[in-house]
Amino acid sequence: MSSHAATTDDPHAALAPLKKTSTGVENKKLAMWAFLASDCMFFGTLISTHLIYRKVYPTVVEPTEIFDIELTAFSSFILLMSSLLMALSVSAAHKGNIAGMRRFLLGTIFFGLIFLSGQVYEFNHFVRESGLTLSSSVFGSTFYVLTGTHGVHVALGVLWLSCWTACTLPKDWAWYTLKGRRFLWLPFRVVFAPMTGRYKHENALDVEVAGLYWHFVDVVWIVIFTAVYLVEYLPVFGF
Amino acid sequence: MAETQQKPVTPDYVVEEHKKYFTFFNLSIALIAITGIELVIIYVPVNRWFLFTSLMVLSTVKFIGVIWWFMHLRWDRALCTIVFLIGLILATGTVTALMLLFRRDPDGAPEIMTLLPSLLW
Repeated sequence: MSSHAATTDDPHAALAPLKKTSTGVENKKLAMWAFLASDCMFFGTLISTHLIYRKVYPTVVEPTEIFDIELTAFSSFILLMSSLLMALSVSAAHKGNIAGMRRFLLGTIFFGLIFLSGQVYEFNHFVRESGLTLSSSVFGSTFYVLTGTHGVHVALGVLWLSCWTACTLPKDWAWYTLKGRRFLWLPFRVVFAPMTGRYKHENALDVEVAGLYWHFVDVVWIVIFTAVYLVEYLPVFGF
Repeated sequence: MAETQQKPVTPDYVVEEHKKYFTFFNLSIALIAITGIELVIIYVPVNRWFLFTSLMVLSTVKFIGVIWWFMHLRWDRALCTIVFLIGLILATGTVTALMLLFRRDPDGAPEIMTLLPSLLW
Protein backbone atom coordinates (compact mmCIF):
# COMPACT_ATOMS: atom_id res chain seq x y z
CA MET A 1 0.00 0.00 0.00
CA SER A 2 2.76 2.41 0.92
CA SER A 3 4.75 1.61 -2.21
CA HIS A 4 1.67 2.37 -4.27
CA ALA A 5 1.31 5.66 -2.42
CA ALA A 6 4.89 6.55 -3.10
CA THR A 7 4.40 6.24 -6.83
CA THR A 8 1.23 8.31 -7.09
CA ASP A 9 0.86 12.07 -7.20
CA ASP A 10 -1.87 12.11 -4.59
CA PRO A 11 -0.42 12.33 -1.08
CA HIS A 12 -3.71 11.08 0.31
CA ALA A 13 -3.45 7.83 -1.63
CA ALA A 14 -1.91 6.05 1.32
CA LEU A 15 -4.79 7.13 3.52
CA ALA A 16 -7.55 6.56 0.97
CA PRO A 17 -8.09 2.83 1.72
CA LEU A 18 -8.66 3.71 5.37
CA LYS A 19 -11.62 5.88 4.38
CA LYS A 20 -13.39 3.01 2.64
CA THR A 21 -15.86 2.39 5.42
CA SER A 22 -19.64 2.34 5.38
CA THR A 23 -19.67 5.73 7.10
CA GLY A 24 -17.04 7.35 4.90
CA VAL A 25 -15.07 8.22 8.01
CA GLU A 26 -12.00 6.30 9.10
CA ASN A 27 -12.92 3.89 11.90
CA LYS A 28 -10.18 5.13 14.21
CA LYS A 29 -11.28 8.72 13.81
CA LEU A 30 -14.94 7.90 14.37
CA ALA A 31 -14.05 5.87 17.45
CA MET A 32 -12.08 8.81 18.82
CA TRP A 33 -15.00 11.19 18.23
CA ALA A 34 -17.30 8.75 20.06
CA PHE A 35 -14.82 8.59 22.93
CA LEU A 36 -14.58 12.38 23.06
CA ALA A 37 -18.38 12.59 23.16
CA SER A 38 -18.40 10.26 26.16
CA ASP A 39 -15.57 12.25 27.74
CA CYS A 40 -17.75 15.35 27.37
CA MET A 41 -20.29 13.74 29.65
CA PHE A 42 -17.54 12.65 32.05
CA PHE A 43 -16.18 16.17 32.41
CA GLY A 44 -19.73 17.55 32.41
CA THR A 45 -20.52 15.61 35.56
CA LEU A 46 -17.25 16.66 37.21
CA ILE A 47 -17.81 20.34 36.40
CA SER A 48 -21.42 20.28 37.54
CA THR A 49 -20.40 18.48 40.74
CA HIS A 50 -17.87 21.21 41.46
CA LEU A 51 -20.31 24.03 40.72
CA ILE A 52 -23.15 22.47 42.71
CA TYR A 53 -21.07 21.80 45.80
CA ARG A 54 -19.59 25.25 45.45
CA LYS A 55 -23.11 26.67 45.50
CA VAL A 56 -24.60 24.42 48.15
CA TYR A 57 -21.64 24.47 50.54
CA PRO A 58 -20.00 27.91 50.44
CA THR A 59 -16.42 27.35 51.46
CA VAL A 60 -14.59 29.02 54.31
CA VAL A 61 -11.69 29.87 52.05
CA GLU A 62 -12.46 32.45 49.39
CA PRO A 63 -11.12 30.94 46.14
CA THR A 64 -10.15 34.33 44.72
CA GLU A 65 -7.76 34.76 47.65
CA ILE A 66 -5.83 31.62 46.78
CA PHE A 67 -6.19 31.59 42.99
CA ASP A 68 -3.41 33.07 40.91
CA ILE A 69 -5.47 34.01 37.90
CA GLU A 70 -2.46 35.31 35.98
CA LEU A 71 -0.75 31.93 36.27
CA THR A 72 -3.93 30.17 35.19
CA ALA A 73 -4.30 32.53 32.23
CA PHE A 74 -0.70 31.78 31.30
CA SER A 75 -1.50 28.05 31.47
CA SER A 76 -4.44 28.66 29.14
CA PHE A 77 -2.15 30.51 26.76
CA ILE A 78 0.33 27.62 26.83
CA LEU A 79 -2.37 25.06 26.11
CA LEU A 80 -3.79 27.13 23.25
CA MET A 81 -0.33 27.42 21.73
CA SER A 82 0.16 23.68 22.08
CA SER A 83 -3.09 23.22 20.16
CA LEU A 84 -1.72 25.38 17.35
CA LEU A 85 1.45 23.28 17.22
CA MET A 86 -0.62 20.10 17.27
CA ALA A 87 -2.72 21.31 14.34
CA LEU A 88 0.45 22.15 12.45
CA SER A 89 1.95 18.75 13.18
CA VAL A 90 -1.19 17.03 11.84
CA SER A 91 -0.94 19.20 8.73
CA ALA A 92 2.73 18.27 8.34
CA ALA A 93 1.86 14.60 8.81
CA HIS A 94 -0.68 14.75 6.00
CA LYS A 95 1.87 16.45 3.77
CA GLY A 96 4.39 13.71 4.53
CA ASN A 97 6.77 16.21 6.13
CA ILE A 98 8.02 13.92 8.88
CA ALA A 99 10.80 16.17 10.14
CA GLY A 100 8.40 19.10 10.46
CA MET A 101 5.82 16.93 12.16
CA ARG A 102 8.40 15.79 14.69
CA ARG A 103 9.42 19.37 15.48
CA PHE A 104 5.80 20.44 16.00
CA LEU A 105 5.10 17.36 18.11
CA LEU A 106 8.11 18.12 20.30
CA GLY A 107 6.83 21.68 20.70
CA THR A 108 3.41 20.38 21.68
CA ILE A 109 4.96 18.02 24.22
CA PHE A 110 7.10 20.83 25.61
CA PHE A 111 4.09 23.11 26.07
CA GLY A 112 2.12 20.25 27.60
CA LEU A 113 4.90 19.73 30.13
CA ILE A 114 4.91 23.46 30.93
CA PHE A 115 1.17 23.26 31.57
CA LEU A 116 1.64 20.27 33.87
CA SER A 117 4.45 22.07 35.70
CA GLY A 118 2.14 25.03 36.25
CA GLN A 119 -0.52 22.72 37.64
CA VAL A 120 1.94 21.03 39.98
CA TYR A 121 3.12 24.46 41.17
CA GLU A 122 -0.47 25.57 41.69
CA PHE A 123 -1.44 22.46 43.64
CA ASN A 124 1.72 22.72 45.74
CA HIS A 125 0.96 26.37 46.47
CA PHE A 126 -2.63 25.58 47.48
CA VAL A 127 -1.59 22.77 49.81
CA ARG A 128 1.35 24.52 51.46
CA GLU A 129 0.19 28.13 51.58
CA SER A 130 -3.57 27.77 51.91
CA GLY A 131 -3.97 24.35 53.47
CA LEU A 132 -6.36 23.33 50.74
CA THR A 133 -6.14 19.57 50.37
CA LEU A 134 -8.29 16.87 48.85
CA SER A 135 -9.94 16.24 52.23
CA SER A 136 -9.85 19.69 53.84
CA SER A 137 -13.14 20.86 52.35
CA VAL A 138 -15.77 20.01 49.76
CA PHE A 139 -14.32 22.73 47.55
CA GLY A 140 -10.87 21.13 47.77
CA SER A 141 -12.27 17.69 46.91
CA THR A 142 -14.19 18.78 43.84
CA PHE A 143 -11.51 21.24 42.68
CA TYR A 144 -8.65 18.73 42.86
CA VAL A 145 -10.70 15.93 41.33
CA LEU A 146 -11.77 18.11 38.40
CA THR A 147 -8.47 19.81 37.63
CA GLY A 148 -6.50 16.68 38.53
CA THR A 149 -8.53 14.58 36.10
CA HIS A 150 -7.83 17.15 33.42
CA GLY A 151 -4.15 17.06 34.35
CA VAL A 152 -4.14 13.27 33.98
CA HIS A 153 -5.64 13.70 30.52
CA VAL A 154 -2.86 16.13 29.63
CA ALA A 155 -0.21 13.75 30.98
CA LEU A 156 -1.64 10.87 28.94
CA GLY A 157 -1.67 13.12 25.88
CA VAL A 158 1.98 14.00 26.42
CA LEU A 159 2.83 10.31 26.70
CA TRP A 160 0.84 9.48 23.56
CA LEU A 161 2.50 12.23 21.53
CA SER A 162 5.90 11.21 22.86
CA CYS A 163 5.32 7.71 21.52
CA TRP A 164 4.51 9.06 18.05
CA THR A 165 7.52 11.35 18.19
CA ALA A 166 9.68 8.35 19.01
CA CYS A 167 8.17 6.48 16.06
CA THR A 168 9.40 9.19 13.68
CA LEU A 169 12.97 9.00 14.95
CA PRO A 170 15.61 6.97 13.11
CA LYS A 171 16.58 3.62 14.56
CA ASP A 172 19.85 4.87 16.06
CA TRP A 173 18.35 8.03 17.52
CA ALA A 174 19.53 7.39 21.06
CA TRP A 175 23.20 7.72 20.13
CA TYR A 176 24.36 11.27 19.67
CA THR A 177 27.83 12.46 18.82
CA LEU A 178 28.94 15.51 20.71
CA LYS A 179 32.55 16.66 20.42
CA GLY A 180 33.65 13.24 19.36
CA ARG A 181 31.98 11.48 22.31
CA ARG A 182 28.90 9.35 22.27
CA PHE A 183 26.14 9.86 24.79
CA LEU A 184 23.59 7.26 25.60
CA TRP A 185 20.25 8.51 26.81
CA LEU A 186 19.54 5.23 28.56
CA PRO A 187 16.14 5.85 30.17
CA PHE A 188 14.70 7.30 26.97
CA ARG A 189 16.29 4.57 24.92
CA VAL A 190 14.79 1.84 27.07
CA VAL A 191 11.31 3.33 26.87
CA PHE A 192 11.15 4.67 23.34
CA ALA A 193 13.83 2.83 21.35
CA PRO A 194 11.52 -0.10 20.45
CA MET A 195 9.24 2.40 18.70
CA THR A 196 11.84 4.18 16.61
CA GLY A 197 11.70 3.97 12.84
CA ARG A 198 8.15 2.61 12.79
CA TYR A 199 6.37 5.67 11.39
CA LYS A 200 4.84 5.28 7.92
CA HIS A 201 2.70 7.65 5.93
CA GLU A 202 -0.41 5.63 6.83
CA ASN A 203 0.20 6.61 10.44
CA ALA A 204 -0.75 10.21 9.63
CA LEU A 205 -4.27 9.16 10.61
CA ASP A 206 -3.01 7.99 14.01
CA VAL A 207 -1.30 11.32 14.58
CA GLU A 208 -4.52 13.06 13.60
CA VAL A 209 -6.46 10.95 16.11
CA ALA A 210 -3.93 11.81 18.82
CA GLY A 211 -4.35 15.43 17.79
CA LEU A 212 -8.12 15.21 18.28
CA TYR A 213 -7.53 14.00 21.80
CA TRP A 214 -5.07 16.83 22.48
CA HIS A 215 -7.42 19.50 21.15
CA PHE A 216 -10.21 18.09 23.28
CA VAL A 217 -8.03 18.47 26.37
CA ASP A 218 -7.61 22.11 25.34
CA VAL A 219 -11.37 22.51 24.87
CA VAL A 220 -12.05 21.11 28.33
CA TRP A 221 -9.57 23.57 29.82
CA ILE A 222 -11.37 26.44 28.09
CA VAL A 223 -14.53 25.44 29.98
CA ILE A 224 -12.71 24.84 33.28
CA PHE A 225 -10.90 28.16 33.03
CA THR A 226 -14.20 29.99 32.77
CA ALA A 227 -16.44 27.88 35.02
CA VAL A 228 -13.98 27.21 37.84
CA TYR A 229 -11.62 30.19 37.82
CA LEU A 230 -13.04 33.29 36.10
CA VAL A 231 -16.59 32.98 37.43
CA GLU A 232 -15.22 33.11 40.98
CA TYR A 233 -14.33 36.74 40.35
CA LEU A 234 -18.02 37.56 39.85
CA PRO A 235 -19.27 37.44 43.46
CA VAL A 236 -22.87 38.18 42.58
CA PHE A 237 -23.36 34.53 41.80
CA GLY A 238 -22.50 33.87 45.39
CA PHE A 239 -20.95 30.48 45.09
CA MET B 1 15.95 7.15 7.97
CA ALA B 2 12.41 8.32 8.50
CA GLU B 3 12.98 11.54 6.52
CA THR B 4 13.55 9.53 3.35
CA GLN B 5 9.94 8.29 3.51
CA GLN B 6 8.56 11.70 2.57
CA LYS B 7 5.90 11.49 -0.09
CA PRO B 8 5.53 13.69 -3.15
CA VAL B 9 2.81 16.28 -2.81
CA THR B 10 0.68 17.95 -5.43
CA PRO B 11 0.77 21.75 -5.74
CA ASP B 12 -2.97 21.98 -5.03
CA TYR B 13 -2.57 20.05 -1.82
CA VAL B 14 0.31 22.28 -0.74
CA VAL B 15 -1.81 25.37 -1.41
CA GLU B 16 -4.65 23.88 0.63
CA GLU B 17 -2.35 23.09 3.53
CA HIS B 18 -0.85 26.58 3.38
CA LYS B 19 -4.36 28.02 3.65
CA LYS B 20 -4.92 25.84 6.69
CA TYR B 21 -1.63 27.08 8.15
CA PHE B 22 -2.79 30.69 8.00
CA THR B 23 -6.21 29.70 9.33
CA PHE B 24 -4.61 27.97 12.30
CA PHE B 25 -2.29 30.89 12.95
CA ASN B 26 -5.08 33.48 12.79
CA LEU B 27 -7.27 31.34 15.01
CA SER B 28 -4.57 30.99 17.63
CA ILE B 29 -4.08 34.77 17.67
CA ALA B 30 -7.84 35.22 18.11
CA LEU B 31 -7.93 32.65 20.93
CA ILE B 32 -5.10 34.39 22.78
CA ALA B 33 -6.81 37.75 22.33
CA ILE B 34 -10.09 36.36 23.71
CA THR B 35 -8.28 34.86 26.70
CA GLY B 36 -6.72 38.27 27.34
CA ILE B 37 -10.12 39.93 27.13
CA GLU B 38 -11.55 37.37 29.56
CA LEU B 39 -8.76 38.12 31.99
CA VAL B 40 -9.34 41.86 31.80
CA ILE B 41 -13.14 42.08 31.89
CA ILE B 42 -13.48 40.33 35.25
CA TYR B 43 -11.97 43.47 36.78
CA VAL B 44 -14.15 45.90 34.85
CA PRO B 45 -16.78 47.51 37.12
CA VAL B 46 -19.84 46.99 34.95
CA ASN B 47 -23.06 45.06 35.32
CA ARG B 48 -22.24 41.62 36.65
CA TRP B 49 -24.78 39.79 34.51
CA PHE B 50 -23.25 41.48 31.50
CA LEU B 51 -19.85 40.20 32.60
CA PHE B 52 -21.15 36.70 33.17
CA THR B 53 -22.84 36.63 29.78
CA SER B 54 -19.70 38.00 28.15
CA LEU B 55 -17.57 35.27 29.74
CA MET B 56 -19.97 32.58 28.57
CA VAL B 57 -20.05 33.95 25.03
CA LEU B 58 -16.28 34.34 24.84
CA SER B 59 -15.58 30.84 26.12
CA THR B 60 -18.18 29.45 23.72
CA VAL B 61 -16.46 31.23 20.84
CA LYS B 62 -13.13 29.72 21.90
CA PHE B 63 -14.74 26.30 22.26
CA ILE B 64 -16.27 26.44 18.78
CA GLY B 65 -13.08 27.82 17.27
CA VAL B 66 -11.02 24.91 18.53
CA ILE B 67 -13.44 22.13 17.59
CA TRP B 68 -14.36 23.66 14.22
CA TRP B 69 -10.90 24.47 12.88
CA PHE B 70 -8.23 22.83 15.05
CA MET B 71 -10.19 19.58 15.28
CA HIS B 72 -10.96 19.71 11.54
CA LEU B 73 -14.73 19.47 11.92
CA ARG B 74 -14.98 22.11 9.20
CA TRP B 75 -13.27 19.80 6.73
CA ASP B 76 -14.51 16.42 8.02
CA ARG B 77 -17.77 14.66 7.30
CA ALA B 78 -20.88 15.78 9.18
CA LEU B 79 -21.03 12.43 10.97
CA CYS B 80 -18.08 13.44 13.18
CA THR B 81 -19.88 16.64 14.15
CA ILE B 82 -23.09 14.75 14.87
CA VAL B 83 -21.37 12.14 17.04
CA PHE B 84 -19.60 14.81 19.06
CA LEU B 85 -22.71 16.97 19.36
CA ILE B 86 -24.68 14.06 20.81
CA GLY B 87 -22.22 13.83 23.69
CA LEU B 88 -21.95 17.58 24.03
CA ILE B 89 -25.71 18.10 24.16
CA LEU B 90 -26.14 15.32 26.70
CA ALA B 91 -23.37 16.80 28.84
CA THR B 92 -24.75 20.33 28.59
CA GLY B 93 -28.23 19.08 29.42
CA THR B 94 -26.93 17.18 32.43
CA VAL B 95 -25.04 20.20 33.76
CA THR B 96 -28.00 22.51 33.20
CA ALA B 97 -30.48 20.12 34.81
CA LEU B 98 -28.28 19.58 37.85
CA MET B 99 -27.61 23.28 38.27
CA LEU B 100 -31.34 23.99 38.20
CA LEU B 101 -32.14 21.07 40.48
CA PHE B 102 -29.76 22.02 43.25
CA ARG B 103 -30.32 25.35 44.94
CA ARG B 104 -28.58 26.90 47.89
CA ASP B 105 -30.31 26.60 51.22
CA PRO B 106 -29.55 29.32 53.81
CA ASP B 107 -29.53 26.65 56.52
CA GLY B 108 -26.70 24.88 54.77
CA ALA B 109 -28.56 21.78 53.63
CA PRO B 110 -28.93 21.15 49.93
CA GLU B 111 -32.44 21.91 48.82
CA ILE B 112 -32.46 18.66 46.86
CA MET B 113 -32.93 16.88 50.19
CA THR B 114 -36.28 18.58 50.60
CA LEU B 115 -37.10 18.29 46.92
CA LEU B 116 -36.46 14.59 46.61
CA PRO B 117 -39.60 13.34 48.41
CA SER B 118 -41.82 15.49 46.24
CA LEU B 119 -40.00 14.30 43.15
CA LEU B 120 -40.33 10.67 44.15
CA TRP B 121 -43.98 10.78 45.14
